[in-house]
Amino acid sequence: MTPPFLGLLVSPGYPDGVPRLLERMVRWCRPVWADPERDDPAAWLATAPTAAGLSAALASGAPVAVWVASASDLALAAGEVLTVGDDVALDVDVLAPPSGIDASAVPPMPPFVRARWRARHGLPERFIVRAGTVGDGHRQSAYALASVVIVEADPAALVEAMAWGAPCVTDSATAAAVGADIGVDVLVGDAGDLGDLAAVLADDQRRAAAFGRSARRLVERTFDRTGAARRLAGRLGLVEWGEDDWRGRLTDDLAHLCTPPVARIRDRFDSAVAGVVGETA
Amino acid sequence: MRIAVCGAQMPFARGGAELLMDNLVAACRAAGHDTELVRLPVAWERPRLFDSALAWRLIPTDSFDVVIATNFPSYFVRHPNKVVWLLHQHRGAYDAADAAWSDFGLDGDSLETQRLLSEWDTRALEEARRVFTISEVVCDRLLRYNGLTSTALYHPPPLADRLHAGDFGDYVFSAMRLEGNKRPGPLVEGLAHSSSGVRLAIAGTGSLEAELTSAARAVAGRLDLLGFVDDDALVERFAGALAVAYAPHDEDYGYVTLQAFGAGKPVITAKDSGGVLEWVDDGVNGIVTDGSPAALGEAYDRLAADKQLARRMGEAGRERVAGLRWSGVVERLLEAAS
Repeated sequence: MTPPFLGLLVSPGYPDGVPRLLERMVRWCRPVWADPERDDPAAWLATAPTAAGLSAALASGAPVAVWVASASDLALAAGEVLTVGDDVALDVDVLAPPSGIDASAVPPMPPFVRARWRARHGLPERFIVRAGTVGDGHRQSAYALASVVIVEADPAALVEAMAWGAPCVTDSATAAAVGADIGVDVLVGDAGDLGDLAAVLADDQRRAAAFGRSARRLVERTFDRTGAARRLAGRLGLVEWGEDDWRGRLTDDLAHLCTPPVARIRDRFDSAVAGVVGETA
Repeated sequence: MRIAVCGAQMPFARGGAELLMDNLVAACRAAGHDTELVRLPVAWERPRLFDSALAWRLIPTDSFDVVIATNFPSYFVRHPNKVVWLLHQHRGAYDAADAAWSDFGLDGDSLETQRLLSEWDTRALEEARRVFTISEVVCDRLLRYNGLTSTALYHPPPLADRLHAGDFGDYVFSAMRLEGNKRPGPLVEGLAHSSSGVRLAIAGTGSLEAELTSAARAVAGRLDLLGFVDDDALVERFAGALAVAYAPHDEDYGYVTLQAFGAGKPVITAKDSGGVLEWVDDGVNGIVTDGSPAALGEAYDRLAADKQLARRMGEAGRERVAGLRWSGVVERLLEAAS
């Protein structure tokens, strides 16, 4: 199946986020420079509200996304925002904020699997990690293995720990900075109490599992660059797989199930269908 | 309404899950809904664990208005009106990962498979309009391992409409597969600690049969291993018992408990028997022991010495399960889908 075209309307000096977004969108569409007077792509992406041809694109009836790079453009909060459709002012999504992450590259680790990994490595049953105290070379392992991660005044660290599905305790300002729902996504306390809170959470497998899951979902909803590209592609109508495109649907579904590229099931699937679709395993 | 009840298939095997699916289909049909049972074989070995899950993702379900998924991996089925009524996940990867029969260890492949399975499970279950389970025990596992909340939805046991109370005889009855997780051993050893002369009759077959036969010699003929017992005989065995003993390890639900109550018999169980404890209140409709042979034997004697107590407890058990109806189960499941 040929991917649909995404027509690009550019203005000089487009933001850095645009190529990053397009890199991720090529999975669902083929971005091309286009002219609304002449071309008829499945959807449009304008790199700024002032991009040439935007009015004509809006008039074409095809879905349109507009990248808004500054607060002054739409009187919105700081950060890169993007809107979809022909009502620019009312329909805005925050997209890939500065602390964004590629969630698909971070395998979430539920608390019971963390515990088993710790058992394998002879680590203590209760293993509490303070963000900022672990060297860069060990940070990811620490976030993957921790019973609980304590984060103080570091929103980027909180996002990263949450992406690993780690149950986190933090201060209220950091929780607010990432839009975490207190008591659902993270546990919050005063600086002096965070260690005690972490110990309690570490011993409560049920709450830890719920926090870890919820935190990961927050990252996927708000901070995941690939997820944002996927949502945009969906809003632009570019992720409607055809009846005959079962492979595309399945590939998308494996991504939805957070399946790593090296997962054995991908090989088993390729091997199973090789004979019937004329491909080699 | 057109309904698909979805479940895993263990070819040529028939147990509680199959009974539940059949009964659910029958109840949906009785409520006036066109209902099909959709089953796919499943492989439980670790390297092939995801195969059937993936197959469920590809099954066309657009002929149905609602799909009700029951067990791993059937809840991977996709449908906008998916409701899950969970019997169990793949326990070998979760709470039973350290059990002798599980092929999960602490090697890297095991741990990554557990991680990925947990992630797949969580996401597939999150897709459902609502997740019910067969018991609080299963709800608790979902919360503990997947961080998901769910609701227990109880159903009547097999033979519910045929069970009836009879005399309070001189035997304690039990019915189970004779396997390690059902723990028939302590029930038998309990006889050696019992001085009342009460007998123990166990219906069922399994790998522990020979071991139990040998143990029977130590209790001087007070143990009857009945082997396979057909439904008619099972109903009568329940009816004539003094009490029912059932003390498995961390049971999901435990039909035997509900069948005992349906027959108006008290249940002797253990404090770590899982779903059984959702029904048995110590001293009210049964006796909750520490699971040791001594405590079980003492419980046998207590009821043998006071049959009025056994009768009162049995009656309380009967009241406890009186409200269970398949029609109520169907109603709750379909409400969640609408």
